[in-house]
Amino acid sequence: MIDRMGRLRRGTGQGGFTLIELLVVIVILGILAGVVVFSVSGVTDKGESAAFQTDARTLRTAQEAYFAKFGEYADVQTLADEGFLAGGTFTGNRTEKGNTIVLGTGPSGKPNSAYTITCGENGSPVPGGCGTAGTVARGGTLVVGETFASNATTNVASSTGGGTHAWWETMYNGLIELDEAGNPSPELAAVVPTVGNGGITNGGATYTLTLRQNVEWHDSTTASPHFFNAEDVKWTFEKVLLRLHARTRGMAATLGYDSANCRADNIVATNGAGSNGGTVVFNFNSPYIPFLKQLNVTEAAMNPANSVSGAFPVGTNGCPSQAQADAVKVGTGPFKFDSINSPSAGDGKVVRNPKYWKSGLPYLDAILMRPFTADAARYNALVNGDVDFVWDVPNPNVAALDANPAFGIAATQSLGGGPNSVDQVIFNLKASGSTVASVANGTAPDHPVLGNVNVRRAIFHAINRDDYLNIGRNGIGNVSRSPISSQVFGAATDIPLPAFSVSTANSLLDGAGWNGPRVTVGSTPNVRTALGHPTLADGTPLTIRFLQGSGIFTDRLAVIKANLAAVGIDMPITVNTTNANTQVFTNRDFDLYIINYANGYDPHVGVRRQYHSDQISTTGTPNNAAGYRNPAVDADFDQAVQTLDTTARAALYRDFQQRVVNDLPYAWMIETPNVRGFRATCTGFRVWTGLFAESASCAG
Amino acid sequence: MTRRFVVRRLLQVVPTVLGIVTLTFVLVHAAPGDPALDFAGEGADQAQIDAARTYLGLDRPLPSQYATYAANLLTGDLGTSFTQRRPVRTVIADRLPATLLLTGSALALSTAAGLALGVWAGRRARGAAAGTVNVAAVLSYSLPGFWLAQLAVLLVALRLGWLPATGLNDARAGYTGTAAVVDTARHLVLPALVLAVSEVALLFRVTRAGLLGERGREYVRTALAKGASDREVVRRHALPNALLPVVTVVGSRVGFLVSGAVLVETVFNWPGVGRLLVEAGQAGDHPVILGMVLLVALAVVVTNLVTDLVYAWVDPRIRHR
Repeated sequence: MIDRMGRLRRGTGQGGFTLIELLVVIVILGILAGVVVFSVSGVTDKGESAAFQTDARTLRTAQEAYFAKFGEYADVQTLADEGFLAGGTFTGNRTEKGNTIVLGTGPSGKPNSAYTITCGENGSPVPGGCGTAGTVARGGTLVVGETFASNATTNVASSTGGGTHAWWETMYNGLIELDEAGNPSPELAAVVPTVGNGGITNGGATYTLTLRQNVEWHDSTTASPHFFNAEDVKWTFEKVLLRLHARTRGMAATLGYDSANCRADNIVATNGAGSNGGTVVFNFNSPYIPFLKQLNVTEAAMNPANSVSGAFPVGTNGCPSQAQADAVKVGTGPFKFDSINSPSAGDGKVVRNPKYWKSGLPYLDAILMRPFTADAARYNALVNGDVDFVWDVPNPNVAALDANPAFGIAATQSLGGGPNSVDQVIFNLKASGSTVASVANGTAPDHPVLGNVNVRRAIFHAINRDDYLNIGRNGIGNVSRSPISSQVFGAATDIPLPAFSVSTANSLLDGAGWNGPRVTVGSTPNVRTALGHPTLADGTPLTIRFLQGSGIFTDRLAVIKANLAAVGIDMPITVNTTNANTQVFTNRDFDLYIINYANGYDPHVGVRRQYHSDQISTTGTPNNAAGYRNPAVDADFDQAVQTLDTTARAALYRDFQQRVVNDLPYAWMIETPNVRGFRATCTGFRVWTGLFAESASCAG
Repeated sequence: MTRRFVVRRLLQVVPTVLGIVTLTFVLVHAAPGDPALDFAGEGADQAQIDAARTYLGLDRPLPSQYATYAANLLTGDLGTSFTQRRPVRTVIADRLPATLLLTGSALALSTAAGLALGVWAGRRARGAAAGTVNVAAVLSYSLPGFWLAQLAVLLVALRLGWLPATGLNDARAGYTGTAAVVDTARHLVLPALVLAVSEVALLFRVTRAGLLGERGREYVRTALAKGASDREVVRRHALPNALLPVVTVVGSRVGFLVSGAVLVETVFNWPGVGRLLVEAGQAGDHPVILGMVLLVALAVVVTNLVTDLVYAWVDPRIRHR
């Protein structure tokens, strides 16, 4: 053929390739060359980079080991002298992207002190980095890559929204500070009340808080000083927290709160001299043990009394409206409100509070918040140096960032809106069209499909939660082992949850009246139909609607959909807005939903609101989203809140967990820690709290 | 241009605008959720929700609401953002300059480059170079803008470190004056180039095709026969006639540029209306979404109108039809 082609070409007097063939070949060669160049380029750099990273890790490990033993970081000579660094460990001078190791070896063969490496791994408390002693790096603006855009809500006392807390919590303080494990220390309360110091009396029903003095609000001036006082505390609880904060209002009933008139006469406030400080006494109707876990800045940020903004609509009965409370911008925190939409539209800025009551803090001059709608853009911004800190390192990028010594990461169980969060699939236990009143008054689940506990159990068995975690969160987190987050007091991780088992799920569904002929519904083949179902006609397909309220669950819902299809359940997904979900919850017009519930530091704080029947919402807030009502569970919570003895209290929470594992109002999917990322030259972050930058600083 | 043509053209816009207004009104009321509840907030009591409902005019009959909605649009009132509790027009106005800067730059770049390349290729109908440019144009038109954007960020910003990866300005520097202009320009380069790439291809091909078509005409051959240089013939005779379809294409691309900027603004985190649309979608802020829909639709209508008028001004045959 070639010969014929050649004769043909010779016959016509033309030889060689045509222009098109040449162009195609050139393009292909160009693509191949590009692939090779991009693959090969940087090999040398990568080698050097790997060696640098190895040395950096060695130095970091030595520093952390020294810190663990002596409680402080040391210079390199000291590390070597103390045996934390071996001689000849390092292989040469190296500089990379602002982090520099200048190496040298002394006569003894040990590394000398000529290091200038900066590292701030996991918020090490040595500003400026390990290996360097001296003064704190003061000043500068920390640029934060936010996950959510800002909105009108700047008051963290009136909202549990993660975005609101991530943006603005640095403007406020709570009464009691909690560390990552939930251990209390004084904040605006000068002393943590205990039984021993007389701050807790009446078996835990009365709490007396002595307030710190000379704490000034952000709007305080020399001419007109405005001090934080007891009246502010009472006002904040009465007008804002007990009405509007989804978790803090869980204490409202026990505090005897009059919600119609937003009054809490059981809170007695006595200002100190000059309306400065004072004492506040909380008189609960019965012992309320978790109170100290609900007084930090995330659960009980303090507002100035009468701080009612001019927002619309206005409040009634002397109570500020949601809109009015949301717009408050005055706090006592380390930073104060500066501006929004500057330097770019959508940005927000807070500046250093020069009168902050913690002397010497904060170190930073300002924090600038910049929202990123795309995870990739946020990550690129961090890696490229456009931002210094991100709240959420995208799960696929965590490992790469951890391996890069120019950056630090810190995992925490605390999301912006609250700690110890768990993804939970909600089973709507009440029929569509039920009004909230009937949900609150009824007791028996009457949802035609999900009212049967075996169907709920089958769904739980059908979901592969390992896949849910790996596909939905790139493996960041852990599969739930109990109805309460494993990080929270009272978690009973030895009560077995339904394990992934397709055969068990099928068996349960067969027995629940769903063993009719299979049909195709939409794009889902092999869907079960009813046969002998107690309420539904034979042939009714097993369709369970999933209401998706937020785009972050898309990947995870795909896993659930596929898992349920494998056992013959059709699961159409309706994407809806949070605000529309409010209306839907009021009418209970959904079958399945999913919420990432923050469990808080105590079961009473964030867990009770999911199960207690008095939390079934009348305004559509998805507390007790399942519409679950079990008097025995209510009793467990009601008794546990009054039980001082931790063993007895844990037993009550164990009993509640056993009951809900039997009743299955929810399917507990995964616990969702969050990974913060930051430049390694910035240190001092307290990533478990919204006051994350109170003691942070950035060198260079 | 005759006055009758202008008036006729303007009158044609009226039913289009009315249709857009009606459609957005229907979409506003068909959107899920209760706007009064959304506006008042989750913790609002019934009295506050009712007050919000009255404030938003939702307690009136539908025809009355429509009349009010249309009348408000005439004054630029696009409603109130649920999440930001500010007028939608203010929310959009905060972001619009950034998008206009981006799309305007992309349009200018793509027009200049498209025309230049089109004229160059039109004068060289055959040849390896012209063919290569043609193939490159097809490629650039085919490649998705968001993919190009990601590639640009990875190569130019992250690997080479030549330009910033995100944003409109350096958040830390606090530049003012000339320094701020330079800073913004540096941030503008990558997203504007990415947005311009696919537009260059279209304009190149339209210009080239138009020029090749005109060069085949008798008047061009006549001019050449009379001794005019090729360059002069192209510049004075062929090109002005070849530009007519280019005018149409440029005008029609304005609307696409704004919508295409959504993806580019997201990748580069550019603080324009495209990113605002994504944020509003994530937050369920229907007034902002619909305000954007209305704005883009009206922009396309106005742009088409201007294009038609310019076209008629350039080509007298149009306005005398």
